[in-house]
Amino acid sequence: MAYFIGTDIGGTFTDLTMLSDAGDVMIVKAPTTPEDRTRGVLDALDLAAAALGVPSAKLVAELAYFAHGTTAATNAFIERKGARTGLLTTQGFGDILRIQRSMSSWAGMAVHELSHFSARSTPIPIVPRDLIEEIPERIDFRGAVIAPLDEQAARSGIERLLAKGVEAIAICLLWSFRNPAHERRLAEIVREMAPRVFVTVSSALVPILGEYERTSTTAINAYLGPVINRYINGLESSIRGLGYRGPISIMESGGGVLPASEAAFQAANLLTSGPAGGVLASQKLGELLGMKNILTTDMGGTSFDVGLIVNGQPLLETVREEGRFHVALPSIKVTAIGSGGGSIARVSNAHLTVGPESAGSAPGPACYGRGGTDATITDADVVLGIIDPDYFLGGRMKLDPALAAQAVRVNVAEPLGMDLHEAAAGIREIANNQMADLLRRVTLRAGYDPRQFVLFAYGGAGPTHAYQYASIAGISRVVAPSTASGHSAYGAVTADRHRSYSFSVGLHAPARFKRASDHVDAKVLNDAFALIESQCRAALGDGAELRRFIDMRFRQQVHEIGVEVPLKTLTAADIDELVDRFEQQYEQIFGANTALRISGVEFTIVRVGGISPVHKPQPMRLARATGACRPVATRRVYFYGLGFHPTPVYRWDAIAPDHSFEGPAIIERPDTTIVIGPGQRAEMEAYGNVIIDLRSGHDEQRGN
Amino acid sequence: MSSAATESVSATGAARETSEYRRREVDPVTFEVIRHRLLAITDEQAAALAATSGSPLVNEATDFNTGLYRSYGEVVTMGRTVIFHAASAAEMVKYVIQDCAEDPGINPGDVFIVNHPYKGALHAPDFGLLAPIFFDGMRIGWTGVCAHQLDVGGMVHGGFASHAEDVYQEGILVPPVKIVESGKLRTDVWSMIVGMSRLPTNMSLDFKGMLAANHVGVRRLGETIKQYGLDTVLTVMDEMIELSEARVRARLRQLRDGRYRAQSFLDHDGKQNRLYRVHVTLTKRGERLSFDYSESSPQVSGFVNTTRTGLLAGTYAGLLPILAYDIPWNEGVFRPVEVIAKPASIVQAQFPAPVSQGPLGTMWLVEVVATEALSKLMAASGEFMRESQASPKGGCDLFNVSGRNQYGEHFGGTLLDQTIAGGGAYQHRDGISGQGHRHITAGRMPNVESMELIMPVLYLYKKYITDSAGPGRNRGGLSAGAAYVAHCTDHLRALVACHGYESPNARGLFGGYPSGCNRRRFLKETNVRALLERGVMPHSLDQLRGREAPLTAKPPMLEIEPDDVYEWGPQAGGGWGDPLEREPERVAEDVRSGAHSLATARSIHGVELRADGSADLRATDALRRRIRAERLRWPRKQRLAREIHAPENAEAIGTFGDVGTFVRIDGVAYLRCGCGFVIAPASENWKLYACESEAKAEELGPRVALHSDLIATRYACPACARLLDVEIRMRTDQPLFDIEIDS
Repeated sequence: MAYFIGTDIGGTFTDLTMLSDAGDVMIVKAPTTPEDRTRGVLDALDLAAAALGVPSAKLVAELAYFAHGTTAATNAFIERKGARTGLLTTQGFGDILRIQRSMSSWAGMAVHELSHFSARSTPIPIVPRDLIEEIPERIDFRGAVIAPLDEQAARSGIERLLAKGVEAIAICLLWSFRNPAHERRLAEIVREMAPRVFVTVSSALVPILGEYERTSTTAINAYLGPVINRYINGLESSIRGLGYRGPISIMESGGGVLPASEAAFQAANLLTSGPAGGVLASQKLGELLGMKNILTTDMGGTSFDVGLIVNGQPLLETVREEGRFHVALPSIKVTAIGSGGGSIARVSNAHLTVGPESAGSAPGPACYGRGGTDATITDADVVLGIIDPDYFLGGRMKLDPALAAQAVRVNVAEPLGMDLHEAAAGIREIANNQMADLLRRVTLRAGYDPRQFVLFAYGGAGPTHAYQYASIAGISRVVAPSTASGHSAYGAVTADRHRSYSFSVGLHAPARFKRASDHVDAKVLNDAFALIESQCRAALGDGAELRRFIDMRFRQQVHEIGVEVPLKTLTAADIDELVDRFEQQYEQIFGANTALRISGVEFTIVRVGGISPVHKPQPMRLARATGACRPVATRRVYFYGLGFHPTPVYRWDAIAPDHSFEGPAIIERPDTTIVIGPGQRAEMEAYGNVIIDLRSGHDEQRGN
Repeated sequence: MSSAATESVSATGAARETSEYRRREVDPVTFEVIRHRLLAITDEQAAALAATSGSPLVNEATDFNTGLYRSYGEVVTMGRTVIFHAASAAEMVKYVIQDCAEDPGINPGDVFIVNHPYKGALHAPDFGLLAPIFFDGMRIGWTGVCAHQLDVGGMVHGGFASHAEDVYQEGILVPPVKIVESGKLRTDVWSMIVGMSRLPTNMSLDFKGMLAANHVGVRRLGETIKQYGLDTVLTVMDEMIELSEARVRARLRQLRDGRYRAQSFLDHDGKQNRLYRVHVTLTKRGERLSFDYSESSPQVSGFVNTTRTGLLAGTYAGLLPILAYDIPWNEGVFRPVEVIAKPASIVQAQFPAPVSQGPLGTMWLVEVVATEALSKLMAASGEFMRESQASPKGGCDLFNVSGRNQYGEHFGGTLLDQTIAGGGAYQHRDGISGQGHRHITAGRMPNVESMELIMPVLYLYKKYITDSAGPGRNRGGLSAGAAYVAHCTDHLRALVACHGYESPNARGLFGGYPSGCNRRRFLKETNVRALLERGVMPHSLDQLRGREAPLTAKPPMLEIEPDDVYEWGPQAGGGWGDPLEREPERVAEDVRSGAHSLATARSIHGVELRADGSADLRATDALRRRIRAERLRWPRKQRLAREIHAPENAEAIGTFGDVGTFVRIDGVAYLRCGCGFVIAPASENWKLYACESEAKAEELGPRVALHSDLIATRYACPACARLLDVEIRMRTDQPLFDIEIDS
């Protein structure tokens, strides 16, 4: 038997998802070990071996593939525990990272925080001002050298940084994406002067227009590179130490995995790999189930993360906020609000609000019995009978229903003069509506209607709440994946190798142009694609499947759209057709008659995304149910607006494909509780995923 | 709405008993769900506008706002974009009702368009689109969007016409007009309006976005009402307003009663370099707040005036983040507030006075003085001092460039680097550098590369400007500045206009210094080309030789030739507290990071640095002693009849920032310095009892300039020499009695 393992380190648990040649899927969870996160991974391996009933050594001997998603980059960045990093920048522009395009006091803040001016702050810098060296040189918008690189001054600047003990150097000069000569020469000088210093060059990592985003991304990458290097080395030697000889892949945020040896050089790309893994897993699962338009929702202890898959492809963003700075590497777009099992319900001025403050995992919800006294969403779930306090984590953690009730009574019910259950159901109702509002926002902003999507619900609390937040957003189908609690790890093990490359071309057709091809030279585009395609193939091998895009926009406008470009040598006619396609796509997203062709069209960045498939087994279809599924119990569950309902409770391990359930019903798993609302219907499909049909129950569900 | 006190629109005063629905009990869960939904709708409106518009002003500078309003324009929700526009849209609704209710009527499916500055707009470039919301044939609310347009016709491109004699010359004037009638777009009206702009396609796109945003508001609110019932939704809307009102009133009760004054001076009206006063007396009594601007200058013939709407917008922009930092922003916040001004004054101009620069001129200073007066109120009120702030940048500089670009096309555009402005200092922290304009809650400014791509300019530098911010125990935030040379073009024209060029508007608080002034240099016929040809890229004007062209706050059009270099660096945040009390190590760090020059560290902070840049504590101590001794030699106008000793247990009745307290001794209230010395009776202007010294501009910092009609006076405690205020006033004025608590 060959095993394929994906691991994902979360804040509380390290998840491991294992596929076997036979198509079995197994998930285990070990506590995350913050002081040395590798240990949690090894613990999870031991748990997986134990679950198979074999010694760990035997599992490792049969291990064919190991993929890993890590929060190491995120943790090091948020806690500002990266390497001491210097920055080389163009003389006169040393404040780029401090100015942050005027976003320093609000980037990364929640909307409700924006009004409180006195509480605003600026982020802790990635590179302190005294480690920024301004180098005499200048290149202009055409890529023409205005002032040559002053190598002597550069050497002095680098010398000063080395004397201050930098471990990494980021190099980002103005217009370097147009003409990288000065940056490349600086990199050579640094390597010559200090071969052990970790170097990131902006024109190699992120050759796009916009010096702030380029500098920020380059600096973050340099800052994290040495940390990731140490982390990956540690992980690799631990796993190799067990005798594993196969490939090790690391999850990145752009839509795939990297070989471990390349991870440090793409350190900034690891920053949101966890949430990206969940979206990728949904994409893979969607392929299996024949679903192409998917809203992914991950509801954990503190946050609710939403991603979008349109026509089989995850929605990407080209720039994202990260630790109050910005990263301009294409990544899977995930939007979050502070709504999770630990979100706290409060009453002030006789009004009830839920979140965004969270009790997290320490002290956690009141029912954890770890000293928390605030009423959380999980406490509400326990009070209402939705979560069985004796079957949390499959019974491994006993919840205290009396503490849950006490918290809800004292903090919510009594101040509002409400009945305990009414109050708890109210907490859920508010949270579910907030999440539904976010689902609408995410889809509408991208130009789509949430009603056209299937919703995937994962994370510990996702399947517990999805039937309601999806229904409020007008969605009619919910999938609770069999891998719900190890979804990011499932994403890691099923993801293909992926790389993306970009190159700023900066061509345009002026206002009132007749044919774009009169102004935009196809040769420039062909050369640019040829360059980045060769880079992509060099990284992924000749078997890579490539896709090409051009970012385009109307002149004087800010919305850029990536238009897919055929894989061939472009002709003048192709260029004119690209403009038509851009216009169509623009109006699809921004509405009919919003295109502004008369203002001219810019071709800003060419991009290539490459996928090199990683071999992994297909999940197998499960055996069909042979008989009816019997509930293990029927308990009274309180539903908002309806009151108590006798609700059958099923156990996950007792159900099989073709079993179907009339709501209200509850399916309990060790890691989550799937709720099927009154009037809804659900069934398990062939691969063991539960699909809930919400339509039938929509009206009753609204409670009016 | 009480704020329309002196010049209220008749519609607002009309009887409006809420017969439109039956108030009902709404349970807290439904309330919260609907409240969140209404905020989400406002957010979706903004998204719909941003999606369609694509304009950098809308998308990056966020120069727009969206909102939901009740039947008479009462704000229910407002976006977190440019705060000014929220008040404007609400006023527009009132004028739509006044002008159109009878004829042509307000019906379901209608949308009205307005940009008339005397009918709700701030100035002609700000267009509003307002749609009534009907349910079962009854008008129950409005949705509205305001957004700044790139061009609205008139004398000059962009709409800031310094030579305009009246509002007619400033651009299109559209009173409330139906642009959509019962769901059908009136293309004739549309074509007429966009046809008067030099950029009709951009304006059309913005209008489409604004229509889409209104459509979202009307449709989604309709869905919400259908789901929950009209009575429930309207109850929630009104309760949201009442809840905010109750919370603001409760907060006001906790604040110190008294009168708090602030003033600022606008230099140059576009024609003459004269000074104009923007003055407020803020009276707080019980749970009421009154802003009285009656002592402001009469209106002027130039374009710097603001309308009644601008007065409200500026006042609310000052008010919301200070008083309602944790209270939802809606009509309820404004209800306990009264705004008073004289008709035909600079803060409340009378039709048809020109107002195009108003939002960047007088209205800006209304926000500045309202912010300062409110900050003094908070600083007199103990724990609320935390919300009190020194002034943000007190005036915007304009740099509109046009000509032929590097691609041979005609272009016109705005360089926005001066918007990267520093914020005011707080009692607990420095001001934030580059936070942007205070009334833009989350703005985003362009990259150098983005500007060089579309404009024929080469930046010599873009950086934080040393000594731009006001010194203090906590200093203001720094502003960024830049310098440019024309690149790949042979000629450019630039319209530049600001105030605060010779008037330090960004004042400090409690001994904090003002920020530098708006500064520019225009060097003609320099050797920049010769340097560039030799491959030398200058990064400072010190490297250049050339002829200094004289500039004023609002000079005639600049002609920029290839050998010329233009540099600007704006005002920044004011400081908080005596600069001598800033820890020497922090001052040393300021010098290292370029926030302050060595000269400022020495002369204003009294800090001596060693050769390695660290603070020399012993020398600093000696220098600070000398400066304090010098202050104690400053004269004072009056003395208490006898020196009063304030007992330790004297009853404290208010705070004077974190530098003094108001105490009651034997039934009389006094201001006592933090050192224990009793300075003055609380009922009199304490400044008359303090040691005072006139400061020359250069003593306030290397970037401060003073108009010949202005003086700066420093006031210090006669006992401990702590600096208590740095005042800027007209030479002919008496010192401003700034904090007059009721005792």
